[in-house]
Amino acid sequence: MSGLPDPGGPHAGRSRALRAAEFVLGLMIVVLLMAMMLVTTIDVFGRYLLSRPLPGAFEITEIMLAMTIFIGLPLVCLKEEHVAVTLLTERFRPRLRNVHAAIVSLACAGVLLVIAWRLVRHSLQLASYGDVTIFLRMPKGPIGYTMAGFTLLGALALLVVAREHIAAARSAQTVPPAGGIRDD
Amino acid sequence: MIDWITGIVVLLAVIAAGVPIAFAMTAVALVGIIAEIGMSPALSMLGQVFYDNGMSYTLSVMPLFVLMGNFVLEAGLADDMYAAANAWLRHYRGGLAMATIVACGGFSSVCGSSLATAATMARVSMPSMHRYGYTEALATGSIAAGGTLGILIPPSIVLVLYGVITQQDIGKLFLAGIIPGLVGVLGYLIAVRLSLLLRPDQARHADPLPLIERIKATRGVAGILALFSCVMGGIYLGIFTATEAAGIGAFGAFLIALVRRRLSLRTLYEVLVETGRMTAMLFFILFGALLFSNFVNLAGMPGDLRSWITALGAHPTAVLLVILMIYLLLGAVLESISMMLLTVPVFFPVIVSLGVDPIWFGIFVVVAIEISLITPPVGLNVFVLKSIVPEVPTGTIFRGVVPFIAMDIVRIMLLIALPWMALVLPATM
Amino acid sequence: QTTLRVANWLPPQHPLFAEIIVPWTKQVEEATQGRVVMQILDAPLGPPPAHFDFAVNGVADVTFGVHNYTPGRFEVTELAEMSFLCEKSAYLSPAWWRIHSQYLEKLDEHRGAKLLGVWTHGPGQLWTRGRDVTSLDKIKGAKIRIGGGFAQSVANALELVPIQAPVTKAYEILSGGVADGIQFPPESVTAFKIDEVLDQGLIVPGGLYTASMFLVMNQAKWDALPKEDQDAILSVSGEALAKMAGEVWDRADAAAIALIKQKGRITLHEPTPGELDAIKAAIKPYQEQVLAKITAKGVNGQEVYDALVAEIAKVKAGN
Ligand code: NA
Ligand code: NA
Repeated sequence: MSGLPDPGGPHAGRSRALRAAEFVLGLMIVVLLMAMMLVTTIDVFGRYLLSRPLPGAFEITEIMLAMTIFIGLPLVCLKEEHVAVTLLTERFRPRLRNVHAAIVSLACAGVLLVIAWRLVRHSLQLASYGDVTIFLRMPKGPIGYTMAGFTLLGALALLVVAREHIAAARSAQTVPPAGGIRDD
Repeated sequence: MIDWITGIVVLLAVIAAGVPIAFAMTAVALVGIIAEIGMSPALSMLGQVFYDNGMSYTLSVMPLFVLMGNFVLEAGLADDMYAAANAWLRHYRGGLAMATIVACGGFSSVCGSSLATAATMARVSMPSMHRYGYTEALATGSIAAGGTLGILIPPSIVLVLYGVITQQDIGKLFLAGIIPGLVGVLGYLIAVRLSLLLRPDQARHADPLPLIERIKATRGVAGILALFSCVMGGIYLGIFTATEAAGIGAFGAFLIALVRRRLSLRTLYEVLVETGRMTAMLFFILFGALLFSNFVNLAGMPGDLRSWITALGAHPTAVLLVILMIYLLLGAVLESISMMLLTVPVFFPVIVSLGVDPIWFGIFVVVAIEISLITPPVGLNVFVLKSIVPEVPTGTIFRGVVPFIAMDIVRIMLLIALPWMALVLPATM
Repeated sequence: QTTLRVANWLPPQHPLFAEIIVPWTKQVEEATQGRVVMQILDAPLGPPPAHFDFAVNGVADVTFGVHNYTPGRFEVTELAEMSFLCEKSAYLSPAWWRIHSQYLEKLDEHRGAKLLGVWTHGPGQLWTRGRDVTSLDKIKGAKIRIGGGFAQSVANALELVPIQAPVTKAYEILSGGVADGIQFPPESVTAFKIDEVLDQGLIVPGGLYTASMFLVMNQAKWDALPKEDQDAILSVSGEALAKMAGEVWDRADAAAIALIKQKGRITLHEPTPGELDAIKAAIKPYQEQVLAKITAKGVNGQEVYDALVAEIAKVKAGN
């Protein structure tokens, strides 16, 4: 949510390359969301003013939604914005809190790896059938490979976060609780 | 039966251990499904759930409604809304708190999220309540509670999700939320007055504004009114679907922000990326919840629940009260969206088989979830406020919301007693 | 005793589930004298198109679905969806099962699963709201909600503007005027209550299209069954299932048409011979496309089409 204080803490010393990667992912989301908004608007206006809806708007929207979700994942991971219940952990001392955050990040990275692997397998299966979207006849396999790729990036992002927490635990630095308050 | 109960207990334990809810649900569900149907089918279901639900047209409303709310926020419409409510209410006893409630209701009509509503109104209305000596409990309590209206008054992200899971018409759900939302505003206004009756020293009077000032301030709601009429009117008249309304609404809010010169390239980038992150975060909870509901389905929970309820021979109202109790208990510790995603697939078939209207039940669930946003120990609206006014102790905010929670309970009882509150508007569609 | 998990994605009262799948599961239990028990899952495990994979991957043991929900996966099944074939599903469905087994099963489009049945719903027609359906010129440009499969080709042939929306949104998009019409069999018109908002129906003899459906079982589960149980299951599946399914759809369509006529809101228009010729001419190239696609897969398209037409006549004649 805009206006919430920036976490700072262990994320403060991120490399320029990492920031650049974050910016590029953000840019992709900017394009996708603007396009999603415009596609719907053009579709509706086209339908009434020209009696011509945008062909395939439905499917373009679906694919853009999928891309937004999976490109957003590494960004959420980098910012540790996954909703978590911090009732217990916020009572921990800073050092223990960092150790906890590192362990949780590693475990979650593991979950993302499994998800990425299964997305690849599922997409291979779809590709083997020759599945395509209904209207635009876009092949469904590659969409899934892309999802898997960004899921993998998400796992990498969590590894970065875990390393930062380990470093912070070593230097006993104070950090805000992992997992911020997020919107519903 | 033992399987799904174990699953739920383990899930709650993993969540309590501080594992993000999305990952906790995914991991526990995966292990549970492996136990039910074996390794290879379970793993293949994992990939399929993430793929299929990532590519869902109906769910594309989520990011677009989030985006609309973020543009509205950027456009400064919340300040105008508060200024207008303030102009008319400030001189009454507790007037600034009442203006906050009304402004929350107004802002909810263009923002689909309760937390965004609470966060926005906190920034807008806290300073003036401070100035007029409102106690922190009353000030923060009214913002935290008023903010919960965000998911009841349309548009609402939670109602969209409910519609998607239960295959109900999202347009109808939106319409159904309007009257209970207005009743909610009214209830909270009464709560402000009640709280002042008990402790009259909580607020100072402000001077009334001259009529001309009031009228001037009222013009500020034009933007919100236009956007709300466009989105809800379009759905109501069938000009576009609820899914399309989200895109149109986001575009409208974008235009307003643009015309008001509130968007630089930098803020535009930030608004969009933040929407994208919020989308990703929400969908990973959704994926986890869908996987978990597949697990309890395979473990036979729906059948078990149904047979319990038939064995008890329960009256629908009794069942609803039991469900309400469960929501209040879960709501103490769970986050709102995950709670809905977790419970609705379980309760919905049971409720429908008892002859309860599915649209009405959606409103019931949302009101129950609204309460969870302000109950301790995990009340997300309270945490949002805390992050904006860190100097106020969390305990004070929780004390401040007590009268509002009481009104919430009254409202949900009213909803049970008078189901037409939710059903009369969608019936005209 | 073997328990088979049956996945369902439909509301429990839908005819495809309540009157076709559920009775079939009972027949299986009877035919195997209780050695095979069918356990129908309470809630859907995923969206409709996911269900073929559920059977392949063993998420569920038995699933059913519509071929054209997963475009690109089943292509030769479009044969049974073509225009003017389906006077009654009770004729087309058994003929479709026979022809599929004889000519098309060897192409192995259902690979990974054991195919237990194929059938179609009744003749699909064109329904509109405020759009004249008495000539091709007048229908042209109408915004019509269409599904996948051959229905899409029909929409292209008639120069309709396709509106993509989930079938559950039918009422919403028609009542508000987002779409001017829809392609549906009569049964769906009343089931989705859109008879309240429509006013024209173009009733083409043999239908403009239909949709082909399947029932499949997980291959490993099938292979693990004793021969005796496999035979028992086959005795109530395949053609017997197709016949039962066809009759259910026909009954549902007849009831829907009766209701529509009784309400009198919708004008049902049967094309004159001249109009029908125009429709046939417009659709012909698309029919040929489907046959060419089948030929490209290694089975002569025209030959199998002729065989299907002949088989339908045979079923109609009572054998
Ligand atoms: Na709202
Ligand atoms: Na709570």
